[in-house]
Amino acid sequence: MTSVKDMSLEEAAGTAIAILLGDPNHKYKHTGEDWQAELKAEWEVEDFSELSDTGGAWREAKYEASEDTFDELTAKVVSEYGGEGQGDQYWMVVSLSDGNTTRYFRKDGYYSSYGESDLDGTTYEVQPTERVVVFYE
Amino acid sequence: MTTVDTLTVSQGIELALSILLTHGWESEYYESWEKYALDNYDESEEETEGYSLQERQGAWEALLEGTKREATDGTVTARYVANQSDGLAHDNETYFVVLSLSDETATRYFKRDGWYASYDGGHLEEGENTEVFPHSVTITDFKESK
Repeated sequence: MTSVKDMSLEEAAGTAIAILLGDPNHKYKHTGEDWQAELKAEWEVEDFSELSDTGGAWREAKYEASEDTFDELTAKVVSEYGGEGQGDQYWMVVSLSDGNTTRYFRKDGYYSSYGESDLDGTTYEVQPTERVVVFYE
Repeated sequence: MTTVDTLTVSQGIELALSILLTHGWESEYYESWEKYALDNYDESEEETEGYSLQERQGAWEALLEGTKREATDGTVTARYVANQSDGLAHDNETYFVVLSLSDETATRYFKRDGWYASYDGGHLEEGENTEVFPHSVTITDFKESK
């Protein structure tokens, strides 16, 4: 297994999306079927790295997945925003961890209440940072 | 004399809006917020007769586009404290503005909740007013790696 630290951005982000879409609760199963081949056929990719820039796969993961582990790699949807009543912002952050290193990847897009929504931005690596904000409640 | 501690929430919003628009207007292109509202939202005196400031889209847009964040009428200081996207507040509401009023009796915070449509942006002229209280929360942002 390649360590997460040594993966390219495309390899790590694409692997995270593949693992999320291969969630046991999802239509692809990690066991009992060749979920990896089915997933590649579904998204018409030869390698999971290509899922790094496949907006539709990210969008499906945004709505249908949260966390799963495969081959000692854990993928999570760590943050996502966008949809009905949330304006035109539309984005998602996923992480991939091998237990030693956790990396975070973000993809931006747009939401439109009258038409298509998509995660069509370039995938980029991000770091979580904490900040103090004020709630008015 | 009316003091900040005795205002209703609706009166508080109206007074804060009035002070910011009247005493905080600083546009380079329009000498008054009324001219801005007339030019951009067709809000003439006849059109807006009977409407309060908080019921006028032009008034809210003028606040967002052309006023200082703080202004005073000499007795009461009004502040445009935060909205949903300026990083000074965090909230689950889609579109809102928080205004405050301060005088020698109190500082109070008032929130105006509006709504957002992707085809023409945010609206505050129809919305709910509530009194709110500030408190700090730590949240996680995801910023691009250097």
